[in-house]
Amino acid sequence: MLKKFAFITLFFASLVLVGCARSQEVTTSELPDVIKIGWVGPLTGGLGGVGQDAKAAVEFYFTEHPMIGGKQVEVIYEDGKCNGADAAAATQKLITVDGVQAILGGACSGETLASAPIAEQNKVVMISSLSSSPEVTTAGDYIFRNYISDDQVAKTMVNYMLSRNEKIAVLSEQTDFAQGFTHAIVKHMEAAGASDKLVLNESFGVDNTDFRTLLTKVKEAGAGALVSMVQTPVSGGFMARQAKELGLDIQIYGTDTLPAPDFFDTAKDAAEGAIAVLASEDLSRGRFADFKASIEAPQSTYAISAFAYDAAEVLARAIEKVGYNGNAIKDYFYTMPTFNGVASDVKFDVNGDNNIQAAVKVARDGEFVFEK
Amino acid sequence: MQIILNGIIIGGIYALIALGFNLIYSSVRFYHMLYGILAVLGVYFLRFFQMTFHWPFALMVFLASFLIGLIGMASWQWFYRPLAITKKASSLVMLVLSFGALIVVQNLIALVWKNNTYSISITETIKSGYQFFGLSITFNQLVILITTFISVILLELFLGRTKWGMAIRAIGDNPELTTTIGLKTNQIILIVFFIGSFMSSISASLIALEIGVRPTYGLMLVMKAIIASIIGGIGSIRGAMFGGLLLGITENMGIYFFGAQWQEVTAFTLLTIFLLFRPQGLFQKYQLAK
Repeated sequence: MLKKFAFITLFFASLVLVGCARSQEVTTSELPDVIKIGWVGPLTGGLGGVGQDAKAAVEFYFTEHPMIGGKQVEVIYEDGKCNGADAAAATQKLITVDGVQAILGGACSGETLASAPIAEQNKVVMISSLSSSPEVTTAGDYIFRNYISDDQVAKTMVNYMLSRNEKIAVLSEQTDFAQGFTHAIVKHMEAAGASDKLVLNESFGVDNTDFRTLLTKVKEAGAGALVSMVQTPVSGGFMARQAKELGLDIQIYGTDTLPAPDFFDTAKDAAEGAIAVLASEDLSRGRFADFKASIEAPQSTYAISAFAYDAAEVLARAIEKVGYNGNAIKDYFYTMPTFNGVASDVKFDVNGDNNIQAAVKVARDGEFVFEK
Repeated sequence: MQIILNGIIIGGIYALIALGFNLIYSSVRFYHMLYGILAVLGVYFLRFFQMTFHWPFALMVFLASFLIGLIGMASWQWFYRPLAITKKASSLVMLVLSFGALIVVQNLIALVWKNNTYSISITETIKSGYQFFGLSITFNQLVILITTFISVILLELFLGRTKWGMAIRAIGDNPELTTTIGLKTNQIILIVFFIGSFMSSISASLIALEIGVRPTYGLMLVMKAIIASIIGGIGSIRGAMFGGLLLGITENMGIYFFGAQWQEVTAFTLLTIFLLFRPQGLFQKYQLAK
């Protein structure tokens, strides 16, 4: 009897010990032989160029630093095609097939928002270096971004416009990103007590490139400023071009979806003077100059590359510190000290957001430059 | 007023694309869905020429369209004809096949040239349109309207006054009879496919100057062509023109009064109204269903 009792006791004790060993294993910083990191963003489509730039920056980082804690890093790149459905499928694949614990991306807000629930469920960390929708703020505990929130950009844009123009019109594409931004503009117009200055707020279908009738409405509304809230630079280009063709004398505003060669190729000289309010490269940063000199020129802007590079570095450092485990990386991110990045300082707040300031740039001779 | 003018401009585009569609329908009597994507392919050829060679714009449009004309002929000879004539496939089967072919070509285009929107431009500067009575129209838009108008007149004359034109219509009415009276049916259909496809590519090139080009525009263009044709009276050339204009104006009215998200809804509402109350269209030429 005693023997039997002892046996059972031993049996349970061993179970407890095994349990301890297992839970200990999870929190150790022991790394797998190959650290597989996921990446999701548009590699094709209207924002394919931007996605390629972000990918190139991540590749650049891991070429410079191929090892984390002595273990080889492998980044698996998936095309999210700038839409929720494809990005969610890509995220699912990265988590279940490749077994990644962290994903760099998504790039488009639609990608991040659709992937977020999947990452949350599997306790996988996501860091977006490009999604700016205000909704990303509340997308989940495991969702971080080192990029700016459109809420911040919209606030800067609204203040800037109100200081210069009387009446404002907004034309927005029916995508997560553009609608999120538009809501933020409306919110900040209300907060500034200037709702009456928003004379027109209309949306249009995805990938639409015929804006004549909407622009006619803008003209009739007597707006002095037009916020071109497009998803792709080409659409923005068509809007600027058709506005000029219709003889509209109007200041065009946009954000980070305007600065790209496609915008200038489409709008030609109608692009001149367009203003983009966006998270920009900070030329005063010491690390940025070195980065710009060493990386191949991006198709879009150096800012896109710089933020992607920072996301990769922040993640790599976290893995080195706490091991390759989504939960541990998440906890570390909320408590980590301020990181001195290439594009900006990185310090995640309670929502996983990194608070940075928006800059104002203006289109001059085929590129967006800082206003003098 | 500017709204109506915008409608006329975009309507002119629809009309132009509907003309070739209607011409082909007149002789083969099935919905040649592939038509839309061949037109788009023509624009991609044009863009390729523009980036590779630096020839005059009109020459490149002509070359690209000529190629599309040949591809159009090939599509009849080696794709449609074996099914429609040899296998005696019904027009519904042909519609489905043609739609399948459209998807295949669309994806091939996306594979080769990516799924982006591209803009096509002739000049490096954007000029304001000509202003009159507070309205604005650009040179390119005038070209579209004039091309539509001239094409309608030429096609009407060609179909109504020439031997070939009558043969084309005769084939549409009764293909077996035309064979017995000694017309070379297949040759005539090949010519129709050439003219129709050639025109489609020219129209799509003009359209691309206005709204750019992307692979999915193929389906959009052929849908607009079908709606315009049904409104105007399918098989009728001047019907295609008025159908296109009416569609364009209605859509733009819809955008103006209800918002841009209602553009497609207005188009299909117009189609529904016509199907309910005037199924033969504005200019009845043939019966819609036989």
